[in-house]
Amino acid sequence: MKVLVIEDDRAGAQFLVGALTESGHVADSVADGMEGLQLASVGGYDALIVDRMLPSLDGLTLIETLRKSQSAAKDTPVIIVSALGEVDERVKGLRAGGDDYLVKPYAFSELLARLEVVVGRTRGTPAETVLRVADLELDLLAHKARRANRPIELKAREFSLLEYLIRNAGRVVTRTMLLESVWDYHFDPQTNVIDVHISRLRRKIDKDFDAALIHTIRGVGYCLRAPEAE
Amino acid sequence: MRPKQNRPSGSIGLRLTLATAALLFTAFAVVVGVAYLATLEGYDTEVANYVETEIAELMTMYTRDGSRELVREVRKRARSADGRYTVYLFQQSNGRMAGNLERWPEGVGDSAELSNISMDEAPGDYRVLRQLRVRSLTVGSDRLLVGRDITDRSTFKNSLRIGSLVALGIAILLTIGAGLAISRNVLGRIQGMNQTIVRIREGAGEERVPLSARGDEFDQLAVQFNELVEENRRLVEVTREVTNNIAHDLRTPLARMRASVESALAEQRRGQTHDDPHEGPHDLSRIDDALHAVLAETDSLLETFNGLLQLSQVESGALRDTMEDVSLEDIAQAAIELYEPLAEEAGLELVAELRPGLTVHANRHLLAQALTNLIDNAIKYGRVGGTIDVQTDRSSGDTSVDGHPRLIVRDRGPGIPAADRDRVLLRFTRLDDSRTQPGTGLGLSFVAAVAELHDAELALDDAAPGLRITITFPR
Repeated sequence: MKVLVIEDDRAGAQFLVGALTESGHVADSVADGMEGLQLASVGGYDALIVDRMLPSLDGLTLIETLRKSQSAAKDTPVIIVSALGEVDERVKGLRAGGDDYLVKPYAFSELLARLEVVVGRTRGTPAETVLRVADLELDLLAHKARRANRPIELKAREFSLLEYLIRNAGRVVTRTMLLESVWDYHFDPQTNVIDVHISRLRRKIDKDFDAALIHTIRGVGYCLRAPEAE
Repeated sequence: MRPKQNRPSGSIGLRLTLATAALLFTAFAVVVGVAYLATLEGYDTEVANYVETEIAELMTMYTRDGSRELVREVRKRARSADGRYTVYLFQQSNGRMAGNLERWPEGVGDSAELSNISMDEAPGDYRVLRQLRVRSLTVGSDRLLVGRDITDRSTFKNSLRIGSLVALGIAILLTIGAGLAISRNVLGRIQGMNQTIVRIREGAGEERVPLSARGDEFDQLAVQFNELVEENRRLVEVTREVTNNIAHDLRTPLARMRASVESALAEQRRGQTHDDPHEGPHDLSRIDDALHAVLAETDSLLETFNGLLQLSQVESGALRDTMEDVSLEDIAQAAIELYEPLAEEAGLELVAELRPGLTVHANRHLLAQALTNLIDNAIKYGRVGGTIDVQTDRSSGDTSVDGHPRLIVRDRGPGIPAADRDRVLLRFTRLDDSRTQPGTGLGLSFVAAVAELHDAELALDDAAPGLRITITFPR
């Protein structure tokens, strides 16, 4: 994917561009808010990474302006990165039109995972009522899960967890992303509670089957994907 | 800058003494003066009344019975016991006189108002000077004079004056004494307080302003001051402990990072000097491990810093306007669902007892975070095989906060000794001094700050066995 980094910290921007390129993406960077808005409006980017404090035009205004513009690129997914980490700052960011909000400093893997999710999300998932990955089925209306036609008993949160994983099947999701989307928790509990949930979920959907669907991505998070065809 | 001590020019001692004495003396002098004047006035009024009554009686008699009867009456009255102090003189137009005055005094007219006169008399072989207060009246062609001897008045006045002066003299001594006593009492206690403060500032941290048994305003001031000193001492101690803890908590990961970086550098040098192709991958994996270790330490340091920042943000109270009506049950339910598998893994059972329909005015994110901190602690310190109770209810009758929504987390672990229950709310306090359990040491401080932000009451008590933490909300 092609990403525009709007960030006035040169070293940080350089690192981001380097890391994105290394992950197989194309990245440009710009340090000025006005310039960033112009570039973003021209379009051609799959996602924007926007810092909040920028010279000439602050990040939130930039996003608001872009969202209200007539540009074809007005709905480009945006991830806000900021040193302002408080809950209310986050709310402001999302209200301005950001798709996600990441507090500095963050792990690059976290940013990358979120980028892929916001880009995947806006490409549009039609309103399906049954989600499928390989032989795993999730019936959203009946709140039922099945694998290889065998019903699986899931608790409410386990169902939400699995739903999030399936919706982002093939993409890496981090522990904080799961906490945010399943629990609406925007803080890190000190202990890694998510791992225990995942291992429970694994016991239910992977244990009795040959091919595992949930994979651990070391140091980053998890990924639910169909086993590769042999 | 320390203010100068014991400046005599600034002392209120002398001023207070003088002011008190002057005030008391003035009051006393006014009383004595009024008494003096009132006594004299009373004397004069009595004399005047007496003279007026006598002369009126004699006039009535004269009008009714004629001059002959009057002469007899005047003679009678002049001879009576009282006649020594009362003078009568009835002078008829033919020059005949009756009464106890040897002649009509000079300067007194035929019909004179009450006035003072002096009169020379030689009743025997001596002469006296009498002071008289007389009144005269003309009746037809005759004239009548009645008066009262007031020679004693000046004696009386003198005694009165001396008495008053003696009284005033005593008053002066008394008032100066009282002034001294009051100022010594007031100033003595102020000075005592002042000296104690000086000693406390010079390092006698344990000293306190002494109290008298009276419980007066000075004692109240001393109590307030002592509490201020106590609070101050406590804050200094807290700051010292927190600073020590911060230093410890930051130094340890920094030291580990430094060690990791050092070993990675050493490994790298070894790889460069021994150009052994078999050692290459081995070296690289060690460097890789070191870098991961540094990353992990950095993350934990960042977590600590974020925790500190968030804590001060909550403590600043800036988030008050982010509050909304929040269901306690929902908050607790979500946290329980998050921690239930972890608790089970740790051999503990999370037991929920949630009363529905309890809402509190709160910031849901902070409240959720506080609750997860409590559950996290309960799992860390709870006894294996025991339960952790998470409860929401209303407080019952035995407390002052009757019927308020409560959030309770209880474990069956070793609990916290009563003496440490205040201390654990401080930043970086950990009761296991080895600090073997993971965590930032900010968890309970955060809970306390969140409770404070919500005007809620945080209580830690002994659940025998275990620790019970109760957050009681204001409504």
